[in-house]
Parts: sequence; structure tokens; C-alpha cells
Amino acid sequence: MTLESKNPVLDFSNVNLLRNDQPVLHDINLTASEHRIGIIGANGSGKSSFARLLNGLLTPTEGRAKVLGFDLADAVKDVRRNVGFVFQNPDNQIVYPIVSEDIELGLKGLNVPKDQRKAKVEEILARFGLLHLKDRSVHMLSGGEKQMIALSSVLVMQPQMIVFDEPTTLLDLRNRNAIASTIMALEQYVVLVTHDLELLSDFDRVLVFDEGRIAADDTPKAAISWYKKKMAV
Amino acid sequence: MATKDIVFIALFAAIIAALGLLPAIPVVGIPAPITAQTLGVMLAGSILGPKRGALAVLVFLVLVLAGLPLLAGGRGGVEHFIGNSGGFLVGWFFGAYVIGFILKNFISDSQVNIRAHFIIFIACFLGGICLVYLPGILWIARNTGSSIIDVYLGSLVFIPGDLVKAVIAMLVTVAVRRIYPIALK
Amino acid sequence: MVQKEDGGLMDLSFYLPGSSVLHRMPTWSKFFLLISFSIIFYAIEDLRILAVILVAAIALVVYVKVPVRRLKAMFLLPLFMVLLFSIFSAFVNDLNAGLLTFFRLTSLVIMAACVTVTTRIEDFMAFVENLLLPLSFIPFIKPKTVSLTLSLTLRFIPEIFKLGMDIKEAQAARGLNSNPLALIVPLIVLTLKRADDISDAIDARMLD
Repeated sequence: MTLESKNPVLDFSNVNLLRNDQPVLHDINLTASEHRIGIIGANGSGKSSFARLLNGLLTPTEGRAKVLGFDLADAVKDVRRNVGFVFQNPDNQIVYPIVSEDIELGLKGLNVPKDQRKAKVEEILARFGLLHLKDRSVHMLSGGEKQMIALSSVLVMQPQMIVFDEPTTLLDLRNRNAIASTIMALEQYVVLVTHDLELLSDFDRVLVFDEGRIAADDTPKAAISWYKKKMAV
Repeated sequence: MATKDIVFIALFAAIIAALGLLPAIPVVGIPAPITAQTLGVMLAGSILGPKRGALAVLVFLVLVLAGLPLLAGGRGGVEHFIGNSGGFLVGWFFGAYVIGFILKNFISDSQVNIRAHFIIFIACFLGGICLVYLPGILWIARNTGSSIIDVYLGSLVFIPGDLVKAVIAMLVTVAVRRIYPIALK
Repeated sequence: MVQKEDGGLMDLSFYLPGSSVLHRMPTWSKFFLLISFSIIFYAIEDLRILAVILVAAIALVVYVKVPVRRLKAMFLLPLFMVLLFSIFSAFVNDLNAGLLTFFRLTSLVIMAACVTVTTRIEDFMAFVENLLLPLSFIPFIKPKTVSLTLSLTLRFIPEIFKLGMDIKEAQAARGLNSNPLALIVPLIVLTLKRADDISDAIDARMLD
């Protein structure tokens, strides 16, 4: 997986999005290939909807959107195969009662044969020092552990890009720091939607969403200071 | 069957189970606390609709059959279907379907006027009581070699409590419709 | 699906590990026998044969080595109900009918409990999925969907239970603990509201 692809990783032109007949995104034009991209904006600004376009959970109502070279209009499955999504609330993301079963779900979808699945599950858990949780019931885990399991279940599918939708909002400080350093260590393309502006200090590019449009698109420092000024009461 | 339907079905089956695990609710003016599990069965039909509601009950029953202690009081296993409560359990499945069917066809999804209250109560009565007692009574009659009339007369004592449950189910349904209406399927 | 010792809901199932003949029998055979016996026992009118069957059933429980505490938890209520209904039957019909009822039902309940105690949940789930395979031409019955639905339910039972306890606590603090609506309405709404996120999460990973 190369980080210097010739084609842009995100390629949006004139994208509009309606959800339940309400306009949510307007005139989104974007070309991006950076390793780490941050997305910030007020609640209701459209950033979560934009994030869901990136892995094909939503598709544009108008315009053309390509992710990793795949067009959302006809290659949604390929997009989902290559783009992982980590939700804000891991309790809504983990769907099987036992940790190892949940991590296996993505592998089943990729048609990985049974004997290889167990090895891959153990491998990803060992990577984060979570092997002891393999056969645990999910409801016994702490919030931080659940978020790490959710991330593991996405990483085990070896996506090229991972989108995070406010992954640290529900975590305490220690767990937030753990997730933050894990994210920074990822080789994959990362798109991080967050209210926690400090997380983005070492990112490559930050987009600010406002009322469904990209209002600012700059380095983290510049975009965040623009955003802070706009949000000042 | 979309993913969201599957999720609704599973979540409601889990609600029915949780209602059996939670302690019974004391209600002012009624001697015995109410086990909310039978309420949950009625609500599956009235909130999710006939197909999804019945499937939610079915999923719950399959898990009970598997031996999980999900029936009120922490009970489970094949023996509860073979024994005398078996008929009632089967009745739950059909009852949820009937309740959903009536609501789907006689009122619109977010209607909460007096007429809606009335129809919802009738649906809960027909589906939650009549259609549950029917197989329940037949099964007991067969099991004990008694006549249906005798078993029916013996079961009348439970009706007042069940009527209260039907009223509560109606009120819960109306409240949920006001806050979070879902299309009945 | 796995049963572990760490206190998850699965551990509350009645399964008792062991190596008796019943443990080793395939799940479908146990259910098939149970259903067959249900039918056969009702055809038998001879009290003496039924008494022998009852003794055999008790012997089965002993053979499977169910600990006494488990026996009490599992059998007390069903057998009490059987007794009640037998007395009802004797009262309404005659003593013979009452005894027939008692012997038949007790034997069946005991045998059914033996099946429960010797069958792993995962084996039972596999049994259900295999049962549905010939039906998979019906559009919405897919073995994978069935497996997902059952697992999803098991996943959320402890969560919803905890939510219920939390709501009960909050409502008690407001003096609303004899109002079933105050518990059930929020329980249902808060749970169902999660359906959108959960189905998004499933769609994001279940690629077929």
C-alpha cells in the first residue's frame, strides 16, 4: 500500500447530499492525497455525513465522488472493502457478544478461510496487547478497551484508509491519549472527524465544515485558528 | 429484509429478554407486581409491526429453547415448551403478529388520537390475550386430559391482570409513537 | 459461539459440561427423540408403563450427574406446575387421569431438561441454522442472517438490562418507581434509537 499514489485519494466534484430529503452537503469540491486529514465543524455542519460518504455508507445525491480511485456511484463494495470506519460509540459498533467473534466478522465478509481467521484475530489483538481479551464478553470491557476492540475489528480487514467519527468523545483522558497515539502510529490514510482539536496538531491538512460546505481548507494551525475565531461567542 | 430490520428485530428480542430479567414492577392499586415480559411481547407487535414483531418474539423463543434463562424468573430450556406453558409461548408469536397486523391496517404510523388509543387496546386484547390463551388452553387441556371448558374457566382468574397489561401496553405504544414513530412492517 | 467463565450472560445457560452419552449425541437426534417421546407417551394409557418410564427418566437425570442445586433451580417450578395441573386434572376428571398426567408430564419435563443440560448453545445455534438451510430459498431466511440476528440479540441483552437498571434508579430518585411507563418507554426508545448506528456498523463490515 503506497502513500504516494498518482491518483488522488479523495476526489470529489460538485457533490451534493440529501438525507431524508433535507440538504446536508452542498457543492463539495475536494482533491486530497495527504496521509492524515482532519475534519472539524459545529454539530450539524455536515461533517459526519461527509465522513459516511468516504466509506460508502452514504452515496452522493448529485456530483461525483471517488475514494481511493473507486467511484461511489458504481463501486461501493470496493470502497467498503478498502475503507474502514470507526464510530463514536463502540457499543453500537461491536455486534457480537464475544470479542473474537466480532473481530472475525469483517474477515468472514472478506471470505478469509476459517483456519486463517483465528490467526489473524490473535495477531491484531496481540499488536495492541489485548490478546487476554480474546474470549471475553464484550459487555465486561471498559470504554477504552471497547474502542480499541472496535479499531482492531476494522484494522484486521487491512483497509487502505480508516475514517474515525469522533472516536475520543466518550473516553476519559487516559484512554483518549491511548487512542490518539494509536491513530498517529497508523500507516493507513486517516480521516479524523473530531471536536478534540489537539488531536490534529500533527496532521497534514484540516477541513472545516460549516452548514454543509467546506468553509476552510488549510494546515491544522491555520484552519483551527479560523475555526476558533468563527466559534468565538 | 434490510440490515436495519434485522437490527430492530434483534434489539426488541433483547428488550423482551431484559424485561424478563428486570425485577417486576409494583403498580399502584394492583396486588402483585407486574412482570413486564408479556408486555414486551405485545409491544413487539405494536411497535415493530406484524412481521418484525413476530420475528422478534421468535428470536426470543429460539434463545429460550436453546437453554438460556430468559423467561421471567430466570428460566429457560426445552422443558418450558413441553410443559404446560408451551402453548402460551407459541401464542406469543401469533399474538405479536396479530397486534402488528391490526395496527398496520387500521391506523397510520404516527396517529395518537382517541380512535388510535382504542384500536391499539383492542389489538393488544385480541393479540396479547385471546390469541395467547387459545393455544395455551388447548395445550393444557391436551396435556392434562381435561376438557377445554374446564381449563378455560380455570384461566379466567388471570384475565383482570392481563387486561391491565393490555392497557399499559396501549399507553406505552402511544407514548413511543409520540416520541419515536417507526413505520410498522 | 463460545461459553466462557468470565461472567458473561452466556454462562448463565443451563449447559453442564460432561461426557455422558447425551452430551455426545448430535443435537438433532436429541430433539427428534424428545418430540417422538412426546407423541408416544400420550398414546400410552397404561399407568404401569408410564411409571417405568418415569423411573427411567429419573435414572437419566442421575446418570447425567446434575448437581442437586441445579436440579432444584431447574425442576422446582415446572414440577410444581405439573403437580398443580395433575391435581386439577384429577379433580376435574378422576384419579387415573390425574396420575396419567403426572407421570407423562414429569417424565417429559425431566427428559427435556436433560436435553437442555447436555446441549451447548453453539451446537443448538448450529442446529437451528441447519434446520433453516432447506428453507433458504425464502428471501429473508439466510443462515448468516439468522446467526447474526441471534448473536446481536445476545450481545445486547446485558446492555439493555443495565440500561433498565439505570432507568429504574433514575426514576426511583424521582419517585416514579411504581409507574411501568416511566421504565418501559425510555427503555424502548433509547434502545431503538441505536438501530441506525448499529446497522451502519454492520453494513460497514459485512461485505456480502
